[in-house]
Amino acid sequence: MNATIMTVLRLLGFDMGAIHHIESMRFDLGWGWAGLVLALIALSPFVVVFYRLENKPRTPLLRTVLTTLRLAFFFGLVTLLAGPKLSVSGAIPQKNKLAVLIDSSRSMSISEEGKVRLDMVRDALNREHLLDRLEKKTGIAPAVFSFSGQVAPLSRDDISSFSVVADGNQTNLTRAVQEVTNNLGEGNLLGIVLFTDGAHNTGDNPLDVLTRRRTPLYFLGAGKSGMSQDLSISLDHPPAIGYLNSLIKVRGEVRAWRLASEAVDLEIKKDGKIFQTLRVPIPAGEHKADFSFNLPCDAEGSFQISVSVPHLQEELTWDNNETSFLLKVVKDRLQVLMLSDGPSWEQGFLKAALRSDPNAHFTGFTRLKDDRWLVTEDFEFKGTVVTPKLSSEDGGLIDQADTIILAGVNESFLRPVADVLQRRLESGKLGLLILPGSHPYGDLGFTGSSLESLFPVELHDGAWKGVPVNPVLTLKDAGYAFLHLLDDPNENQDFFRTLPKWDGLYFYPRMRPGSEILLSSTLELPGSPAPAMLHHRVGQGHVVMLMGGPLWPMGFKSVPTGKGIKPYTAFVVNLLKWLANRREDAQVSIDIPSTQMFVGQPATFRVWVSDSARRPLDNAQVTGILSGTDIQQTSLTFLAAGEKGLYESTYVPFRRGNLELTVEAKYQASKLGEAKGRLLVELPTVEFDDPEIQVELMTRLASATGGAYCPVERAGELLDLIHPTPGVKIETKILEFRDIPLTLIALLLLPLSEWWIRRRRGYS
Amino acid sequence: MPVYLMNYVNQLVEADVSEADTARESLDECTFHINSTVSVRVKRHCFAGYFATAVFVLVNIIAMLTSPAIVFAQAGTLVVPRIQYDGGGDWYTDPTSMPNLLKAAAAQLNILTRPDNLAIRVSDTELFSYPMLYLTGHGNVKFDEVEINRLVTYLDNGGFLWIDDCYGIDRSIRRELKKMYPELQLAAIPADHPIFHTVFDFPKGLPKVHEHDGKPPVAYGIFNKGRLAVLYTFETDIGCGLEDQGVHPEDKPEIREQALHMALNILVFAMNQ
Repeated sequence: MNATIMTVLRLLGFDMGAIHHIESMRFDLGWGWAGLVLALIALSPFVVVFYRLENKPRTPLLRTVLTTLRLAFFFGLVTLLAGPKLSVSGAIPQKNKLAVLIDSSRSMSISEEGKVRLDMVRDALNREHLLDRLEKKTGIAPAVFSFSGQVAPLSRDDISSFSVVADGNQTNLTRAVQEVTNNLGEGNLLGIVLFTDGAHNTGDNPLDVLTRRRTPLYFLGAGKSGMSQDLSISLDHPPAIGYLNSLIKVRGEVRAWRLASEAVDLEIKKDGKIFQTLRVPIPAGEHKADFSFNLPCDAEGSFQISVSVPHLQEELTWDNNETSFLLKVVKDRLQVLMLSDGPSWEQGFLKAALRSDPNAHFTGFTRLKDDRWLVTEDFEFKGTVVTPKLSSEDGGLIDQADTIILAGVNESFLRPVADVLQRRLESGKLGLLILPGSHPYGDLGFTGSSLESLFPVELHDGAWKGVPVNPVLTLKDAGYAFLHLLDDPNENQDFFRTLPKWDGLYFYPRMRPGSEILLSSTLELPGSPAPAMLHHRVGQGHVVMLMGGPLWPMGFKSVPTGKGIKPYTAFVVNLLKWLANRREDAQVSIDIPSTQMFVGQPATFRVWVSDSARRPLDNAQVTGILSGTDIQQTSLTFLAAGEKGLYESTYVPFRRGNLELTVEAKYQASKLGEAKGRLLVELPTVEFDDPEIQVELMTRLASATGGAYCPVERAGELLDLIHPTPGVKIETKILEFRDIPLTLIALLLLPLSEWWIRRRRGYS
Repeated sequence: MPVYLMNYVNQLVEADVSEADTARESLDECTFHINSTVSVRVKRHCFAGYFATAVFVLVNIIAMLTSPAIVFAQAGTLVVPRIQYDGGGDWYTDPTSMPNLLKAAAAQLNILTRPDNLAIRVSDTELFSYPMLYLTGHGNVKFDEVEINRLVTYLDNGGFLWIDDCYGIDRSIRRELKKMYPELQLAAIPADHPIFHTVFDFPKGLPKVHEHDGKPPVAYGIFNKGRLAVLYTFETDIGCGLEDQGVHPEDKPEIREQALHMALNILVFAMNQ
C-alpha cells in the first residue's frame, strides 16, 4: 500500500526526495478549511442562478449534468485558489558515518615514561579493539584516516598491522577535520574520534574554525604533560646576502623545556668552524628566549652559517639543536645620489647615517637660488657647478647610482635623464626615495610627464597639511627589514608612535593602483589616516615616497630621549640598501627571499626576465633545474606571474641537503641568459617546538562541539560518552497541488466537456 | 613655542597682518630669553604676550578642529638659536646678526628660514630641535658639567656649533672646549677647506671684519670622526658684520657683505657636511 501511494504521488509529479517510506500524510489548505467553506457558501447562490438560467435543455438529466459540470469547474477553481497541499512525512537515512583520525606527525614519536605516543594509540586500537567496539556501539563501521599536514585514508589492514609512521613535519588539526567532514558529509557524521597529542602547529586556529562545526569531536589524548626535555633553536628569516665590510644582524629564538641551567650556550659556526659563542639567558618561568648577533661580512664568497645549542642526554630530538643558512657576501658598494632643490638639514643627517656603512658612497647636488648646484662627491664638498651632468654615453651618475633620493627637484632638471632613470628602475638596478620638497610634486612639473608613473600617488591636487603628525606603523609584522627598528614587533610598533613629530605632510587625493602604505600617520582625514610613507613598484625596482617631514628629527630629537640616533641610522641605511635592490646585471635573475627551505614545505622561486634594454619581458620561456648531492635532478617550469617580466615556480623539497637552482630563459627560441642560486634544505622542527600534550586545546574543542576528551590509556571510557543517534530521521515534504500540471488539465477538461455536450445537442 | 604655532605666526606675517609682528615678539619674549635690552619691554608687554598666546592657541585649535587642510609653512624651516651661557659674558650681543643671516639665506639661497633672534640654554629640552647653535659675546663663557655633557652629546650626534668671538671670549671658550673634548685639539682650518668655498669663494680663508688686537683672522675647528663639529671664528667678529646697517658705522658695505657671505658659507656647510 505504501509503495502504491509513493508511486501515485511520483506519477503526479511530486518530488519525494530522500523519503523511501511514508510514515504519515496530511491534506491542508492555504486558506484553511473554514476559508474554503465560507467562500463556497458565499458563492452558492450562483448555483441556483445557473440552474434557472439553464432553460434550454429539455431533459432534467441533461440539465443536471450541465449544471454539475459548470459547478464542478467553479468549485475546483476556488479549491485550487485556496492552496491545497499534501504533507508527506517519511524516514530518511541519517548519521551513518563515523571517522577516526590518527595523528602521524613527528611529535607522536615523542617518548614519555618509556612509551612512544604512537605506540599508545596502537595499543588502544589493536589491544583494546577500539574500532570493533566503536562499530558495535554505534552500528557504524568507522572510516579511518591518518593526518599530519594532510589527510590519508587507512584500511583495516593498515590498522591491524599498524603501519602508521610518525613522520609528518607539521600538524594541522583544522585542515584534517575540515577535509574529513567535507569528504564524508557533515550531516552524515556521527562524530570524529581523534588520536592525537593536540600539537596543532600550522594552518588556521582550530578554536576559531572547528568550534563553528556541528560534528562532535572526541579526543583521545596521547602523551603526558611535563615529561619532555628538549633544547631547540630557530632563526627568523635569516639573510641571504651580506655586503663586504658590513655587519648583518641575525635574529632567532631558543626554546628550552625542563632545562636545569638558566642559560643556553650558542655556538655560531662559519663553514663548520666556530667563530663566536653566545650565552642566552632563559627568563624564569619561560620556555623560550630571543637572541640576536651581528655577523661580520669580512670576506667575499658564499658561507654556510650554523647556529647550534648543546645536545642533552634525554632530549626529545637532536634534529632541532642546529639550524643553518647560506650567506653570500658580495663586494658591493651602495651608491647614493641625492638631488635637492635647496640646502637643508636632511642631507647632512642622511650623510651622517650613511657614513656608518663603510660600503656606502654619497653624491649630491643641491640647487642654490642662483641656479648653481652645490656638488658633494663621496661625502665631500666639491664646489659648485652650473649644470650637473647626471648621465653620459659612457655611463654617468644615474647609471652608477643604486639609489636616488629626490628632494623637491623640478621635473625639467630630470627630463634629459628620464629615459635612463625609468629603464634602470624597471630593471631593478635602481631604487628611488622621494622626500618632500617645498612644493607638491605636481607643481614641480611631474604631472603629465614621463616620470609621473614613478610616483605612488596621482600628483594632481597635492597639498601640504602643516599639522604636526606622528608616523604610525600600520602592520605590526611589516615584511620590510627597514621598518624593524626594535626586535619585538609590539615595541617596534609603539616606537614609531613615540618618534618626534613631523612638521606636517603632503596629501595627495589618490594612490596609484598597486601602491601600499608602509607608514600611515596620526593625521585623520575623512575615511582614514593620511598615509605617511608609500611604496610602489616600477617593474623590478622599488620607489618609496615619504609624504611628511623633515626626517632628521627622527634621529636627532630622539638623542636626549635615550633612544639615540641608531634607530634613525638603521632606518636610513636599511631603507636605502633595500631600495638599491641589487639585481644581478643580467637579463635573468633569481629572486630568493631566503636560502633556507624546509622539507615538505613549498617554496616559491621568482625569476625576473628582461630584454637587452633591461625592460621587463613577457612571453619568455623560463625553465629551471634543481640539483644537489643525493637529490635527483628536478626540472621546474616557471609560469608568468601577475607582474610584467616576473615568472614563478613552486617546489616542495623532500629531503635535506644543499640544492643548486639554475634558471634559463628564452625568448622566441633565442637564449636570453641564465642565473644560478644556492639553497639549503633543512628538516622542519616545528613539531618539537612545543612538545607538551595540548590537553586544554583538545578539551575546549571537544566541549565546544559536543564531543568529549579522554586520555588514550582510558580509551574504553570514550565508548560511554558517544551517544549514537538513530540511523534514520523523519523528514517532511510538502506537496503543492497547484504545482501539478495534471490538476490544471483536469480542471480545464470540465468547461471543455460542457462545451462539447452543448455543441452536440445544439445548445450553443 | 611649538613650530606649528610659529609657522602660523609667520603666515600672518606673510599675509601682512599688522598684529603678527607684535604677537610674535611678545610670544618669543615670553617663551625664550632675549637680550637684556628688550627685557624691559618683556615686562611691559608680557600681559599682551600671554593674551596673544592664548588667542593664537585658541585660533589654531579651532582651525585645526574645523579644517585639517590648513596650509602652514613647509617642513624643515631653518632656525639657528644662540646659546645663553653663564659666566658673565654678554651672550645676547649682536641681536640682529642671526635674523639678518637667516633673511639673507632665504633671499639668496632658497632656504626656508624663520629669521628670529632665539636664545636657548644648553639644558633646554628644545636643544635637539636645532641642529645648529650660535655662540657669541664678550667676556667669560662657562658651562656646568651637565651642560658640557649635553653639548658633547649634541655635537657627537650631528649637531654643529658656531662660536664667533666678538672680543674677549678666547680664553674662556678654549677652556670650555677643552672640557668638552679633552683629547681633541682646536685646529686651524686651512684656506682650501670647503667652508671657504661652498657658496662664495674666499681664497685666503676667513675674512677680517673688525680689527681688535691686530692679529690675523683664524677659523679654528674641532673635527670629530671626520666631521666639523665646532667652528670657532677668532679675531674677525663676523657677527658684528651681520648687524643692521648703522649699528657699527665704521663697517663699510663691502666688509658687511664679506661677513654675510662667510656666514652663509658656514650655514650651508653645516647643513650639508
